[in-house]
Amino acid sequence: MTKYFRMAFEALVINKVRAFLTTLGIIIGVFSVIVMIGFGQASQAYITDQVKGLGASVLIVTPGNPKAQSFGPPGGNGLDKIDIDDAEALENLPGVSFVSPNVFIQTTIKFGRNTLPAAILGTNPQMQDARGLKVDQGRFFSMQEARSAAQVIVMGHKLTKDVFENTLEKPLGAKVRIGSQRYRIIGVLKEQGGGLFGSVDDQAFMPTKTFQQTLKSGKGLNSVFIRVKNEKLLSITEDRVRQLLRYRHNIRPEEDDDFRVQTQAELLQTVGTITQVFTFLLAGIAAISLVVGGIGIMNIMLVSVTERTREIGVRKAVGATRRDILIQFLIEAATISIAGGTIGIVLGLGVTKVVTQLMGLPFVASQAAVIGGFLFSAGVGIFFGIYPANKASKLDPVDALRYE
Amino acid sequence: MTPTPRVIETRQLNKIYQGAIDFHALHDIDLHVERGEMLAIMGTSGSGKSTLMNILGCLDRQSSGRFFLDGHDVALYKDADLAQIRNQKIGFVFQSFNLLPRYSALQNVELPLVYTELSARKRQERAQQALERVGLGDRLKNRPNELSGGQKQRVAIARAVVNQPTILMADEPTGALDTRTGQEIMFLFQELHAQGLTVLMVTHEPEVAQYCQRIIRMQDGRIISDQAIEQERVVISD
Repeated sequence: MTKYFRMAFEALVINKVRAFLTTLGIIIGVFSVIVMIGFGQASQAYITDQVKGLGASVLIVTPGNPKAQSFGPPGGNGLDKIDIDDAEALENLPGVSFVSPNVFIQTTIKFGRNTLPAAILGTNPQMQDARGLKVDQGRFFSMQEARSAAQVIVMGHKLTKDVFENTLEKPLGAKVRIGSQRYRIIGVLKEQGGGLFGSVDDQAFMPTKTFQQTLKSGKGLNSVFIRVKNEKLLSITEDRVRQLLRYRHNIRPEEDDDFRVQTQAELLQTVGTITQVFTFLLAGIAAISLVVGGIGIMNIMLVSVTERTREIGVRKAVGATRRDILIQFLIEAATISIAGGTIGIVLGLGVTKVVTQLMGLPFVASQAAVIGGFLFSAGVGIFFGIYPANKASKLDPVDALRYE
Repeated sequence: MTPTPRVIETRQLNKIYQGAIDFHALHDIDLHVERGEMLAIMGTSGSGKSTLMNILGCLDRQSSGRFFLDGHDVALYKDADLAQIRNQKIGFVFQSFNLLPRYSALQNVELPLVYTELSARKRQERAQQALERVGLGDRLKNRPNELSGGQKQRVAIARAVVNQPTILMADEPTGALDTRTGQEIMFLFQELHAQGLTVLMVTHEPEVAQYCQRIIRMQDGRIISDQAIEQERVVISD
């Protein structure tokens, strides 16, 4: 067997540039697959970490019937179904430690001449801990400010930097404009990195009441976050939440919920499914380039078979069987793709590591992606090598020897 | 007691190339070659001599008739068996050498051994011995483009004999060489013949055929004469 690999190696060395260019197709293919899977998994790990940071004893209520919910982030449809009054009612349930009504809008934030897109979140002071937000300068808003709907805002790190770019102003204490309203910056968050669905660094936080009074009229909420006093009370509280909301929404027994209550575990599952689909989608697109690389191998192997017709004739004349020729060319194709696969994997992991570090995401070296990438590239080489190798092996020795 | 079979025996061998018009390349060829013979097949181009040799060399198959090699009916062999016969029993020398350009002389000679079970070291040893046998012991590492025509043909001959075949087949072995070099190559064939090899060559040059013991002449796919000739063995004087 080693002699076949030696033959393949010798044949490839003869045409170094050609072999390299052919390999490049596979390198790019495997590289993109590895990078896409790497980013997908890094995002997933990041989001999972965030959800885990919420703690095990939480319930998340989102509007919309779970059965009718289409693909997309939770809470995306059926807004207004859960409102601020529901959240207040939930606060009075036994076993509930605190309730945070959450709202969200994508808008622009202005300071001086700078206008920047930003995600504004209305939430509760308790969410600072639950979401693991760390304050760099100033402070997070207080319970009192939340109750009095004070026009205060806490800004993400990058957002602050961008908004105050080219100004001499200190962010803390300055007033930024959203729409027609002004908000005083009382805190700037530490740099925390982002995930697939946006980074805290690009977001700004204000009390839900402020949000609803100044930014978006109406009582509707995107989600309600409930912390339960004790993990053991989780399932009973979940039932109570459901009953209370059904009662408040006048849902008859035969009707389905118009909301969804999820535990952390369920949320993790939902998020996991979404990011996985996303990852596979990206990796699938990347895999197409791998197939294109495979076609490159087939193309160059066909050229090679034609160029080496005489060699094939000589080999057959001195005793090579069809199988010998077939294996020789198959291994040549496989060598190109395996070499490309290996280089692609190494480059892909390297780039993923560097970029995830720059983005502040966790680096996940997926064994499955590495092994899968390797096997897939080898498979591509063999698959696209079969046709040319078979063609070579079928050459008639007399014709091949006469070939000019 | 069974007599040792003839190396080659054909009975009414025919080769027809099918096409728009079928071309009858060989007509009822009856040919016997005894072990240790050295014979030349002569004829003009298109006479069928190369077709015959390709069949006798197991590179091609006949359309009808029978061909026994060492007493075995070749028609019964599968393609893989024919490859093994080419590897073990037959050595080929071509007019245009057919050396692999990127391989050294040693690697070229090694080629038939690659398709045997021999170890890499044993292969090299045997290839080196074969090159020494044809007088190229000092050209092991050279590539074909660094060798003269005569040297190239010597490498090709070394490749043909490296696996110790019973028959050495040559198709116009001196066709691409000048007279003097051609003579040297013919002396080499005679030497190998003297060592016991059966030599069968195709040529259209009478001077080359003179080195053989027997000349078969072909025309339009038929054997028209088969004569033994007086061997005039030329001795290299200087």
